[in-house]
Amino acid sequence: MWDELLTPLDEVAEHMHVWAVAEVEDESVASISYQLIGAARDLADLLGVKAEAVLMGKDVEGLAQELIWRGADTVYLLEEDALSQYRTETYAQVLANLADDRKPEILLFGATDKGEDLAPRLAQQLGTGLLPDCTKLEVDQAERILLGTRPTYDGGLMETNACPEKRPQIATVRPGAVEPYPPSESRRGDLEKISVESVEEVTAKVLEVVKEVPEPALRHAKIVVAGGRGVGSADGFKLLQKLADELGAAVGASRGAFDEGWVGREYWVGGAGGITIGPDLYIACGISGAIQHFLGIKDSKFIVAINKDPRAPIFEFADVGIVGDLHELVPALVDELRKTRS
Amino acid sequence: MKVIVPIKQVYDPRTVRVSRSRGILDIREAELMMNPGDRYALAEALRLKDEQGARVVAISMGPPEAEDILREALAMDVDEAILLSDEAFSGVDVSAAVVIVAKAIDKIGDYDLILTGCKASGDGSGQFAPRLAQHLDLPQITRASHLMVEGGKVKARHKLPDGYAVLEASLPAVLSIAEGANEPRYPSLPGSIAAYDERTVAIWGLEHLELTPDEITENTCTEVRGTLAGLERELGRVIKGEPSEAAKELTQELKGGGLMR
Repeated sequence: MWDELLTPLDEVAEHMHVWAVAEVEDESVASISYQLIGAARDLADLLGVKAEAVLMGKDVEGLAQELIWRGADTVYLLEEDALSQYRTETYAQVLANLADDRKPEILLFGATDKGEDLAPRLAQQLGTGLLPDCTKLEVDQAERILLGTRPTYDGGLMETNACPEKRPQIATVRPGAVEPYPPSESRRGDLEKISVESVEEVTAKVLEVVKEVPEPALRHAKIVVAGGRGVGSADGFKLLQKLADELGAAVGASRGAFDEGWVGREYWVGGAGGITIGPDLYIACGISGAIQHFLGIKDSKFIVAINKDPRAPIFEFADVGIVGDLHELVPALVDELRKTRS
Repeated sequence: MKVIVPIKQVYDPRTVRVSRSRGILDIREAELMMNPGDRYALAEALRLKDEQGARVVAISMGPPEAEDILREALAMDVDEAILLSDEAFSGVDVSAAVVIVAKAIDKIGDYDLILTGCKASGDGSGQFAPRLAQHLDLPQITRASHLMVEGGKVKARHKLPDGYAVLEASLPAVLSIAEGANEPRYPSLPGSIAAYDERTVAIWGLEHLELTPDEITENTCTEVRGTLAGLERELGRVIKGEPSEAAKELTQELKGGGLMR
């Protein structure tokens, strides 16, 4: 009876220290790692424990020093041939062994490609919770509970999560959410080499890695003028091009306009195979706003919708809507812009 | 070949509002739909059905209303649909959901692939596939596309920020299918009629899955401590009037907001 009552408390109490799991990319430490060690430093100070970094790879010892300069009290160095390339199962297994052995209180990962692949698998293996995609980390000092806040519903709702009873507490931290500390060459810390026990044979292996950089200009445009079925023809897009020229914008199109053959595939904006964009200003002309289109443009900071149909779903998520015919409104807008400019 | 596709019903993000004063979701007018990301997993499974004769089983954990998305999956030509529904499942976190879905997967048995979406729309966190893979002790390939199933193995591309890695995993394996990996399918009209009139959705609860409420509690790790209204995204303003007047007003608004030079 007493055992049952004491066990969970004991388990929480024996876990100490805050870990940042560093990411290595092309033989250097990825910038997210310094953000993570900065966050770990702050949390560790609040909890009165150490901030520690975990560095995994092959021939990465030279990367440890800067982690100390950036705030780590200890760097755990795990070097092994099997760790030379990121592999989910291997990394998860090695980290699980280390965490079982050292019992950290908190583990921080980047909410990055690797972090989002690795951290949930590790959390499941350790039987614990994960606070995802945090843009803010706080701590309940009395209860030693990490509070991770993340944006949900496209930033409409901020949700604060906690993992009150299981340890370690794991969080993924969104890149850019935490300012890293500048390197201080007078900071001292320990480097501890951890021998990696032979890893079980993995069942998923990497055959090749291919770098691709096909970046359409549309993706980086600050302003995008896009047209949908309501544009009516390939010629109609010339009208949109005029508006785009006036605004210094790129032209995009909905799936519907692409399907009609009015524009090429490189213009297609949308979630289902189109380009995903997040410009400062998105002007949707004659686009109804189907869910897949919404998913491709939801990160836009300001959305203007021009549509004849007042019930078009696009008006549900536009910041400003104009109900009317784009063939009248777009020329009027071009005129107005020219007038205000002269 | 048997492919299991766990899918999820979510709120259509276009119909969800946030109550700014109370800092909570306002779902009074929210509509439910199949998570858009799950359509890629279903389309990939159905491609394997068309090309390699795979049997496709769709499962979903959710309230009774989630039967709708399973009917929709049947209408897309999925072979079997199972709803995991029980009051004890309501509001569980992802680690408990994994335990429930894994029980169902074990019960279905004899599978080669489990395909999921990457991240649920709205409040998804993308943990489901990696956690499920670990729980079932299977390899995982996240953000996958270009699947090739051959000789007891699956080869696929894992999307990277600047390209992709080609990964190979032994079967069975868990893959989350990347957004845009294929052409999502939509139900055909005859398929829809059959899905509602002739086909059945099995419903499995706690007992059926041989689960106890304690097991669910034990596997629950996280809790929501609170919510707050986030960035301002109120219902948009509608500009009315003649085209020239509307154009003038819009131009002023954009200039005022610093959105254009």
